[in-house]
Amino acid sequence: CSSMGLDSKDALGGISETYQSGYVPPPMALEQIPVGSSRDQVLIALGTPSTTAQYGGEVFYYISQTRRRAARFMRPEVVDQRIIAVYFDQKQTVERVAHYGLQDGKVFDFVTRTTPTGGSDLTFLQQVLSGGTTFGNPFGT
Amino acid sequence: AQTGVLGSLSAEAAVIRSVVVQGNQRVDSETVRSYVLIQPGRNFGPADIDRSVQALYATGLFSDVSITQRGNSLVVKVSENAVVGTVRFQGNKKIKRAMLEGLLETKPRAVVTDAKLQGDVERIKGYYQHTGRAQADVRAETTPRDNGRVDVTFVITEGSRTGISDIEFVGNKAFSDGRLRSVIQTKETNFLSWFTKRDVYDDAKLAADQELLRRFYLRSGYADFRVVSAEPTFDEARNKYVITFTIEEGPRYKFGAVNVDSSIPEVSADSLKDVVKTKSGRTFNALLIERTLEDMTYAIAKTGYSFAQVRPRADRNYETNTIDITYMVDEGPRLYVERIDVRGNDRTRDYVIRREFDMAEGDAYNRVLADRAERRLRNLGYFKSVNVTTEPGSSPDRVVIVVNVEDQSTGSFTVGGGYSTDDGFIAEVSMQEKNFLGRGQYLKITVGGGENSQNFNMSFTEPYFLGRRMALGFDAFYQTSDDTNDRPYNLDSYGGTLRLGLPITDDLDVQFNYKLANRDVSARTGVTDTDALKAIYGDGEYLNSSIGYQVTYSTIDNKQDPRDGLYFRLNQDFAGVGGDGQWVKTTADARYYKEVVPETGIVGFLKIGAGNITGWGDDVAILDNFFKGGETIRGFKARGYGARYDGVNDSYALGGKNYVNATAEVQFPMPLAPSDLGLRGAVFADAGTLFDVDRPSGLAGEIHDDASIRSSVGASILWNSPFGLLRADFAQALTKESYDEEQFFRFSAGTQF
Amino acid sequence: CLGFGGDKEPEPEPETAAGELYNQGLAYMEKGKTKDAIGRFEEVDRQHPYSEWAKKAMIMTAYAHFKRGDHAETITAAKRYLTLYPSGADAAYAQYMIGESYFRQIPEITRDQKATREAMAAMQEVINRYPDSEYVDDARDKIIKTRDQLAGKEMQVGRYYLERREYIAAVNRFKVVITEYSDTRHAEEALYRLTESYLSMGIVPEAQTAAAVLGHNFPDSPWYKDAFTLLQTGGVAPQENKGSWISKAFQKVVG
Repeated sequence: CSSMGLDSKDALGGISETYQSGYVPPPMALEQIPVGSSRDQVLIALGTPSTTAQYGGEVFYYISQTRRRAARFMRPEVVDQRIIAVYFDQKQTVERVAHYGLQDGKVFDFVTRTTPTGGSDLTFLQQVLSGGTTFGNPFGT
Repeated sequence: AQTGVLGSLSAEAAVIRSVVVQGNQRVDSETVRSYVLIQPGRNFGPADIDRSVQALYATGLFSDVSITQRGNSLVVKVSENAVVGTVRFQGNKKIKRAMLEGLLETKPRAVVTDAKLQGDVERIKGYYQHTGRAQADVRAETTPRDNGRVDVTFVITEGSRTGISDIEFVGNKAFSDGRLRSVIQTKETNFLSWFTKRDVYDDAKLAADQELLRRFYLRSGYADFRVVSAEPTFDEARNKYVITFTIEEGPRYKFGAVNVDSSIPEVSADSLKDVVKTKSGRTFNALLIERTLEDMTYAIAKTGYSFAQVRPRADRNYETNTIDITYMVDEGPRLYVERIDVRGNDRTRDYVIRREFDMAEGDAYNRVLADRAERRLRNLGYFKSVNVTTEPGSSPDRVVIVVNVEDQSTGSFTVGGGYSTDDGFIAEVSMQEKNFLGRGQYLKITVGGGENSQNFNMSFTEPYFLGRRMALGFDAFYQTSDDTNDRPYNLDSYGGTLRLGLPITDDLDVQFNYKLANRDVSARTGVTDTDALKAIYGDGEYLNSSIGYQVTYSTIDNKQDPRDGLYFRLNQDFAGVGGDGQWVKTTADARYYKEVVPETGIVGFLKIGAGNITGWGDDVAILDNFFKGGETIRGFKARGYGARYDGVNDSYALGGKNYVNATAEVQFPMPLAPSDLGLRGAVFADAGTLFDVDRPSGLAGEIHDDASIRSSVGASILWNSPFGLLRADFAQALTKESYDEEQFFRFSAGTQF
Repeated sequence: CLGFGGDKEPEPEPETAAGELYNQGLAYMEKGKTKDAIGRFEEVDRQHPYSEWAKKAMIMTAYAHFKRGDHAETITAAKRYLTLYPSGADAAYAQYMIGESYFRQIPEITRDQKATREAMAAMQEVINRYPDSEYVDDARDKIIKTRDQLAGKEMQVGRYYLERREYIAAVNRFKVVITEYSDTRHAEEALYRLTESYLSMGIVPEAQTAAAVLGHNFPDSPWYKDAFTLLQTGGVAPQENKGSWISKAFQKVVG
């Protein structure tokens, strides 16, 4: 599903990198977990889920991403994202399997405010005085 | 206390009325009872007794503990360890008391035990051996004092310093003893040993040397290399060791057939062919195999298949002395990273470490990427030690990566001096911090002064601007220099650069920058040439404000001591963004290093440079010209060649708007000198030219300006001293212009890059 | 160095009564000369080991170091007291001083939180072994602060990954905060970040659940307001205001 490492149509030519991150679905995995199969069958076929639902009924999420970085200084950009969501009913058997693609994702700025935390920060003076300085080579190499 | 119904039935569940403590003189009974798990009235078993005995021993207060039951009371018999009064040393001349105290477990007022004393004796002996006194003898004496206190005295006979008289090799045919001596860390005693301390015999170092030898031979084709033995024999008379390495080189192998076979359908073998570094026919080299494994795993990961495992299989062919290498690609375990835990970073911030990992939590675990991150972290130079290990995760297909780091001091405060025939004596104080506030930022501040110049420099870089690998930085400088015979004017200049560095690939790097430089020139006064000098070098302020870019491609192996690789830099600046100067300056610099004869340290080095500055709607000020001399073509004075104006009092260098230069040099380890001295020699040939100036308005008189080639040949001595690289060049100019100025000897100290 | 023979150790002072030495120590403490006081107390311990005076002197040594802020020495001295007199009168205070010494070395969250964990364990020891001592309340308060700090560390790493859109890493870090540190102030933000993460992935129901739990437990928290507006706009219109780029850049470098 992911293109070869050297992606020719890039503006900066053949130096972009494409790689897989997150879950790597084994071949024909989905065929092995039809509706009604047990929770253990899912674990055997797909392995431990990337994450599970926090509240409400039990849900397994398997999250796969393909990233591409045009040049080493750029931040890798998510070019493909596939999420398999396996929903279970009370009897712990597969109720339904949902798929989410990259297009479902919403785009927005994350809030920059953070909850304040304590702890002493390292001041520069501390860094210098705490044995931070050694006598380097006098010719400054 | 009433016992439970079952209390008295079972034999071993006995019950006692009281706990009696005997034998304690100073430790009060209450304390002893608090460690005994058995309480009167409650039942207990033999296990409780054992655990109580262990608890009492664990306090370290007692040399002997026994618990027995007599009737319905428990008797706890203890004999106490003595308490240490004072700790003294006798006979320690070379190593001071404070240093030795640090090694001891036995401390005043603490408890003394035989185990602690024995450990202290061993540690003191080990310390002496580490500093080269293998024959030191240490004894612990205890003299009892009143009320249970004991004074401890460590009697030391230091013995004299045991160096290593010589290191011999038996069984080496392919490489000379001298060459092998330069490979290992341990060295023979020489006049610098007091400083390097390399001539110390130490088992750990000897083991490390054997590994260095093995790796060296495996890189040079000797796949069957084996160290048979490394025997130190002590020569009583000269109080020195002779170390003999007996080795078996075995045949020198070449790579035979090299192929890749993959058992994974998605990964085709021939797609990996071009990543293979071990070409058949070339000399066998274990390092190349490791590199191939790493690149191949990375290439496979890039195609989207994350769980591949690459293992090499080597089949020797004894007739043809070749080794066939097969890279076997097969399915590895499907493991995912559960967490990356960073430990020990007391100074460096978590994200500075985490960002060096190409893997995130939740990604497929890839050992090669983990090794790569470990290597990157080590190259940062922020840590004394870095090791990346894995621990089992919360489920069989999960693993936790543990990054154990130990911060080291990354600041260095250098008071330095230097001398070069161009600038005379200079003194310099510099403060550099590679890991500013643990944020991975770089800060350097330098203040310097010399006979005729003072300068201040500051440099700051944030390597990960906006969380991307973009290095944002700025430099600022202020410099004043007085009138000298090379530079007939006083010059005050200040300014700065704002730069943004973008790595394109591992070897290619592009940097965009804005430079601002203001200079205030006041020509030498009170001489007939003063007016001419004012016309040539300008008088008063002059501002250059330019934007530009710099492209650097470098595969140099080691910046301080390059032996292999190509370096190319192209630089262009466009002045005229405000300011007075309006020009386009282009410079190019290419260098090529190659080890002429492998593993002998003889390095060939080719350098080609060219540059042009062209006025853009205005003339180029003389001081914006290129000025070249001995630093480019050895055998000439500073600013020794290029255009020149004949004044009445003297002739003055005008530099040039165009230059070309080329250098060919061969560096070699100085024969006869011991290898660890770092002495090297070199022979070289330089050539080049510098020409074309815009005639300053209002300047009468003749300007010499020829595009002829100047050249020189010569030799140099280089000393990579503990104080830095010192270099002395002796060069004779071959072709020159009559008005050029020569200089046969040049000396400089400082860095190459 | 002209060392000749071994170091000449001055003969130790003549024996003085333990009580006298101890009182000299106390006098120094009143005058604030903690260094000299420590000298006196250690002398009591050296000349009259295991006496009643030595017991008092040992706890006073620890207290003097504590006053001077030498964390390592305080911990060593207090631990020696606890080994000798585990149920002594000042044992609770010795244990408390150990916890407090670690607590004062807690670094901010981007660095190894080893001191935080040690402080938490030492304070927990105060509560377990000396339940009715006067230090239990402060110990409990300090434990809440150390747990808050550890939760802050998980959040910092979670935000690091969220910024890089590594959703698995981010979600799992925020879940650790909700499950193991649900009683800390960071739980609110963790729930909000889950809403952001799931919405970015497009798993809207999960985002709504997280926001609902946030609203239910922390109705007037600023984080709930943010979650509410985020879900309200469905996050469809990207609020990429270019203005914030400069401020983000400045904040990143100076940070």
